[in-house]
Amino acid sequence: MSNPADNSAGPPVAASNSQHPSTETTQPNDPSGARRKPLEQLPSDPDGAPDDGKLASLPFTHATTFDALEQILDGGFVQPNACGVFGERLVYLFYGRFAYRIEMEENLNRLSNDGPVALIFDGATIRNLSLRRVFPFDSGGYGQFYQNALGQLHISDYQLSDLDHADRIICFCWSKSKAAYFWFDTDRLRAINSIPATKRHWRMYLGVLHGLANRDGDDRRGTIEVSSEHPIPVNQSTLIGMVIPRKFYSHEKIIALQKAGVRVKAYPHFANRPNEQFGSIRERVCEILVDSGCLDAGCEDGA
Amino acid sequence: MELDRNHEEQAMAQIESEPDVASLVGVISPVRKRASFVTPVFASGAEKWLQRLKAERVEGFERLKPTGDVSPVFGSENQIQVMKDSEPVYAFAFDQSDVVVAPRRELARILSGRLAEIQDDPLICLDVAEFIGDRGEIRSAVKASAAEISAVDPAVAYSFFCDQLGRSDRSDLEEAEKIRSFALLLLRFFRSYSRYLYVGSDAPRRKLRDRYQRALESLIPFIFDLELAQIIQERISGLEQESAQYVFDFGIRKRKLNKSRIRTLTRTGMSRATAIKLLERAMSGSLDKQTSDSNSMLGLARSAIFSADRALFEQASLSRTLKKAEKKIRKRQLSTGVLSIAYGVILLLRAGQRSMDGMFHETCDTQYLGLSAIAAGLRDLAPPEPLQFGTLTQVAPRIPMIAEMSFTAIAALQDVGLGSK
Repeated sequence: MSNPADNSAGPPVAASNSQHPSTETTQPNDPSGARRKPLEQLPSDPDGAPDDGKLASLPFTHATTFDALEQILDGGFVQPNACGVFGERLVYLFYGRFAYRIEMEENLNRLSNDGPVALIFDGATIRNLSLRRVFPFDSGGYGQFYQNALGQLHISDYQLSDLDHADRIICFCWSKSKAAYFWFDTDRLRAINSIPATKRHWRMYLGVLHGLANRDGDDRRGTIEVSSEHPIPVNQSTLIGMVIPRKFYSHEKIIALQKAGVRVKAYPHFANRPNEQFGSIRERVCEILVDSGCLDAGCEDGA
Repeated sequence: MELDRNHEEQAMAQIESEPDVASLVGVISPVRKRASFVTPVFASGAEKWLQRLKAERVEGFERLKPTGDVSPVFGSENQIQVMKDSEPVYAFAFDQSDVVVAPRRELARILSGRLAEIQDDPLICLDVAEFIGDRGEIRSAVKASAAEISAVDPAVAYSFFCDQLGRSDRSDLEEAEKIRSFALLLLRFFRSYSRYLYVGSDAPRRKLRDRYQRALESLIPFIFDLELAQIIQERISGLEQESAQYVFDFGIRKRKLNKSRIRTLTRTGMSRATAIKLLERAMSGSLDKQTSDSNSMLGLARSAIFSADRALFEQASLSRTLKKAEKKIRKRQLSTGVLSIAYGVILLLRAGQRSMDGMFHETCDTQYLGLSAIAAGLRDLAPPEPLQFGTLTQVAPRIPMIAEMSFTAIAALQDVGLGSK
């Protein structure tokens, strides 16, 4: 990942792993012989028909720092950065929930002094942009945390076709609950044993979501990640809200955005490791999503 | 399996390389020139580390790379060592050369004693107050921050105010939001008068409208000043007492009046005095949070005052010599009216504040008290016709007078040291 606030790019993914496709990923009856990706087709749903409904109201989030935010606001865009995993310049966003970890590897000074920032983008706006890739986890952590647990496939095997595909996965795995997905509430996660044994990669993916088999992986393991080669506009039309360190609340550009209707929440910043702010920021992101109607009221405490 | 083992070995190596104890070597320098919490950095061997916290204990250390730009800490702090499972330390930089590093409780104590040094930056003050855990300081800092933001945009400031003080209970916030909406409606109501005044081309009206709007704008920051309620209450009491005293004095001076008229005046005067006492008790009761009693007392008091004033007006109409008294009393009554409205608005906002503070049971009482005060104030502005609160539009013909009275209210607020000149 190239997000300045999220340097979780894992080691380069071994291309040779893609040489071991699982038998279940090939459709023997497919006349074209095209290989089907492991999460492409949802298993039959024991709780009823698979939900094909879009979660169209889900927004997108982007983690950055206040220092970077000032540059973003000056330029009006989140600019693509070099990505170590795919070797391209990309902007990364998470879909429907806020997840980040800031590792102490680069940009340390501004990270620790300024505090992390969450930008929340309108779902419809981002859906209309040309997206480069969609993954059902953070691609930066794949090599380090999930590749073994997901059958050693090449990362591209897990690339989702589009956001509708992502919606179906969220609905299927998270009891059709946006709040369960947002809070990564594994109590409401589909049980692995509800998946037929023949759907090995679905069982493995759910195993990863349940936290089995992948040590040190955090909630990004089940967060839909999207990337774009294009700058993402940052203004009152594209932003639903943002969460910033409280000490910057009176910043003129922040006030201007609020006057234009962007919701801004602030959290206290006592320095120390940026990751320790995660809980506070996620709580406030949830409040903004509830305020804006993206999540149902009453789920602010994770209920 | 081989890969699993490698992973395990890497993880073990990472954990093993973490020190059990590390010494403070400095802090990561603040980028901006303002006081702020900063991040303490530790050294063990050749490496630099940050504390990794869990439930206010040091769970371990996280390697810091790169290690440049760490500002050294001077003084006794540089002897600090932190161990795994011990209390973490926090750091606050007043400036580059004045950095305090200590465990939370100790740093809170130090910061409490130095709050005055960061008063110029209320948002930083708010972070510090929250770190200290001082509810009073938090409220002051929220108010100061909101006041600062309101200079740029009052609506954003109010949003900040609600968000910060209402964080503890969301359901109360919704109640507060209703109250706030009502208070804003009231302000819009007054604003509508200015539109009326704007009709026509004559310059004085336009000028009046501008003054009116400025006056209303100047009211907005008051919503952050809860002490205002008390000051206005004192002001109202003062005016009421003054008015009652005037009735007595007038009656005594005008000995030429016949005995029956004096008796009537005295009776109305007594009635008014009794009412004022009730009103005082109601106001102080509301400030002491005994709002249920206050409501009924306020209702009684306002009714008594209103009756007394009506009687007085009737008396006044009997004698040309009483016209002066009428004017004098009318002037005081109008002042009382606008102050009552201002007090009512403050009470409504105060009700919102109370609900945000979790004193939910008192919210409705205070809200009712606020509405009563506004209704009474409007009645004062438009005597002797009884005016129902729900029929504000009936006041429309009296727009110019109410506009003027609003200026009086603003002036009264300025008299007591509130509001911009």
